[in-house]
Amino acid sequence: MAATRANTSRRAAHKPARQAKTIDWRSRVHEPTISDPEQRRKAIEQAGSLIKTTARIDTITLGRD
Amino acid sequence: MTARGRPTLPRGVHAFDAPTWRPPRTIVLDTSVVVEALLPNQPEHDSCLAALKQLAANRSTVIHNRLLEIELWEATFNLALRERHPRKNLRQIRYDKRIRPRAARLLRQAHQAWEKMRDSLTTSIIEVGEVADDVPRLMQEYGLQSYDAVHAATLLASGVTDFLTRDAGFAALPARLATLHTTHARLAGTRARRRRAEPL
Repeated sequence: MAATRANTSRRAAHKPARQAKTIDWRSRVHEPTISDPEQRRKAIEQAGSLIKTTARIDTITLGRD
Repeated sequence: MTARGRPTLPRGVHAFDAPTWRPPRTIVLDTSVVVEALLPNQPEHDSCLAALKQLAANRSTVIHNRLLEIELWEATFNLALRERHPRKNLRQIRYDKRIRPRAARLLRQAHQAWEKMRDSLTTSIIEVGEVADDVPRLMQEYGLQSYDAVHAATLLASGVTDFLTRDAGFAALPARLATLHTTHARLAGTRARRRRAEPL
């Protein structure tokens, strides 16, 4: 039993590290429809004021609590 | 007055609202920054919006998981609940039908706001299913919650290390895997959590 456990532990020690998954995100890059950097900044500024509310939530828990 | 004692170790955590912050060429985006940027009443709204504007102006590529959008709808729905019931436990009022018309309006606004923001950024979306297999391992290794593990898996699978987030929970990831960009107000707390997470 002890030998089996030792073998298992040796196998675990020599097990190659799990291959990290890689995703090719470059092939699906979506370019902005607005080309001018200043216009992009303005559009983001506008996006930040489109939701009309006076309430506040914890945006880390997404207001779940 | 000069600062005393040893300078603070950055521990791979930086403030995106610091004047010296330079947006990375490629960065993975967490939901907490987007939701804060899209809700004008939130305390860190200005900082988050400014960071996204910098990323847009810099033409940085912003990678995010599809889960970000789903979480944005969740936050928006909860906002409608919170408007009507400021002090009640959300679990008790979740199914209050009276808030549904208001939730629908807020969800439409959130959809428009997110579309406008996405149209101004260089983006790349990773689907939840592409990283779902890695979630249990990340939960087990770093104690992350399942939703957070999806964003962490997106970061690791994309081969990028820069991560824009306000959630100090991601400090559980080692600095060699994740460089965290957070707000100045959260800097000390996030660094402290990373220090506690690091092996002795």
